[in-house]
Amino acid sequence: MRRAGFILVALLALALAVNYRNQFYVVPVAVALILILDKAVVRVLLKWKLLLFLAILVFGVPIFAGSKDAVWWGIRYSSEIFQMSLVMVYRSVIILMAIKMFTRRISIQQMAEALEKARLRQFSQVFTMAMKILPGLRTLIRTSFRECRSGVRHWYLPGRMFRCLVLLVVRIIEYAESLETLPTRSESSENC
Amino acid sequence: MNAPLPTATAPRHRETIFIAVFGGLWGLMEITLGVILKGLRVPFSGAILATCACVIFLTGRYFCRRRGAILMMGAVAAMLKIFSIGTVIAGPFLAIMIEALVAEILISFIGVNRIGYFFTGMTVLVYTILHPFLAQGLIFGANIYKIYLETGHQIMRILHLDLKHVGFVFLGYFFIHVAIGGFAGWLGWILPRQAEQELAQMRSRSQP
Repeated sequence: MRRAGFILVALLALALAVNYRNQFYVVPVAVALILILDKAVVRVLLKWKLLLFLAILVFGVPIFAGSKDAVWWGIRYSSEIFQMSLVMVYRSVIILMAIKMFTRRISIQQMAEALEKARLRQFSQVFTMAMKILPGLRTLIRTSFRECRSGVRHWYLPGRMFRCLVLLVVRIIEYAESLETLPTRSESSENC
Repeated sequence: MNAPLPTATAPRHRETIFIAVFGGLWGLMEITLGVILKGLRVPFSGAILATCACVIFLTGRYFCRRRGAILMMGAVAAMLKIFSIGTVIAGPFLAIMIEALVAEILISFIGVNRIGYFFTGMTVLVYTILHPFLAQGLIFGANIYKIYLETGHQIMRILHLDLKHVGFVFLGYFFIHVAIGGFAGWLGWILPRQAEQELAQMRSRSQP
C-alpha cells in the first residue's frame, strides 16, 4: 500500500505541474508511467459522460466563452480559454487514472487497516460487527415498514410516518441492546 | 436533557455496538436507497441521501455519547458502500467520509443539543451543493471556476438575464438545502428523544 501511495503522490505532483508550456513532455511521461504500471486504468476514461464533458471543455467552451482572438477553419475561438481547457483535460486525465490505479492496488482489508491506523480505534472490530448484524438489521427494517404500511390507512401522512420512524428506532435500540449480551473480542479471547 | 438509556454492560462495548448498528444502517441506506435514487436519476438525490444520513447518524450520536462516533459510523458506511461495489472507488468513499467529518467536527464543538443538531443538518446539506464543485476543482484545477463564470456570463447575455436573477436562483437552491438540512437536524433531535421516552414507558409497563 505504501508503494501505491508513493506512486499516487508522484503522479498527482506531475498532474499539478502540468501547464501549457511543459505539456509536451510532462503529460507523455505521466501517461507512459501509468500505462507501464497498469494498462487497465485507461478504462476509467472510457465513459461517454466524461468524454462528452472533456470534448465540450476543449472544443465547445473556447468557441462560446472568452474574447475570440483566433480563427481555425473560419471558426473564431478564444485561444486563452482553449489553452486553459487543454491543461485542465490533461490534468484531469492524469488524476483520474492515478486515483484509479491507486484504488485498484489496495484491497478493502487494507483500507480498513488504514482507517484503524488513522486514529479510528477498534475500527476493524466495529466493521466486523456491522457486517455480521447487517442481515438482521435489514430484516428488522423490512418487517417494521411492512407492519407500518399494513396496520394503518394513509401511512404516508407525516404524523403516521413519524410514528413508524419512532417505532423503527425503538426496535433498533432493542436490537442493539440484545447484541450487548454478546462477548467482546477481548472477552471471548480471555475465556478461551 | 435526558441521559442515555442505562445498561448493565460495559459502556465501551455498548458504544461499539451502537456505532456498528447505526453505521450499518447508514451503509444499508447508501447501498439500497442510493442505488435506487441514482439509477432512477431522481432530482435532489444527493440531498435526499444526505438527509437520511443526517437523521441516522444524529440519532446514533444521541445514543452513543462518544467523541468520534459519527466519523466511525461514516467509515463503516463508506466501507459497506465500497464493499457493495466490490472494488475501492474513491468518489462515494470520500463523499461519505467528508460528510461524517464535517458532522463530527460540528457536534464536537457545539455538543449534542438542539442547536448542534440543527446546525449540523444544515451544514451537511449545504456541503452536498459544494461537493461537486470541490471535487471538480480538485480534478480540473481552479481554472474550472473561471470557465464556469465565463460560460455563465455568456448564457446570461444570450438569455438577457441579470446577475440578480441568477443570484435569486442560487439563493433559492441554497435555502432549499438549508431548510431540508434544518428539517433533518430537527428530526435527528426529536426522533431519538421520542424513542427513548417510548422505551422508558415500555420498560415501566413491563416492570410489576
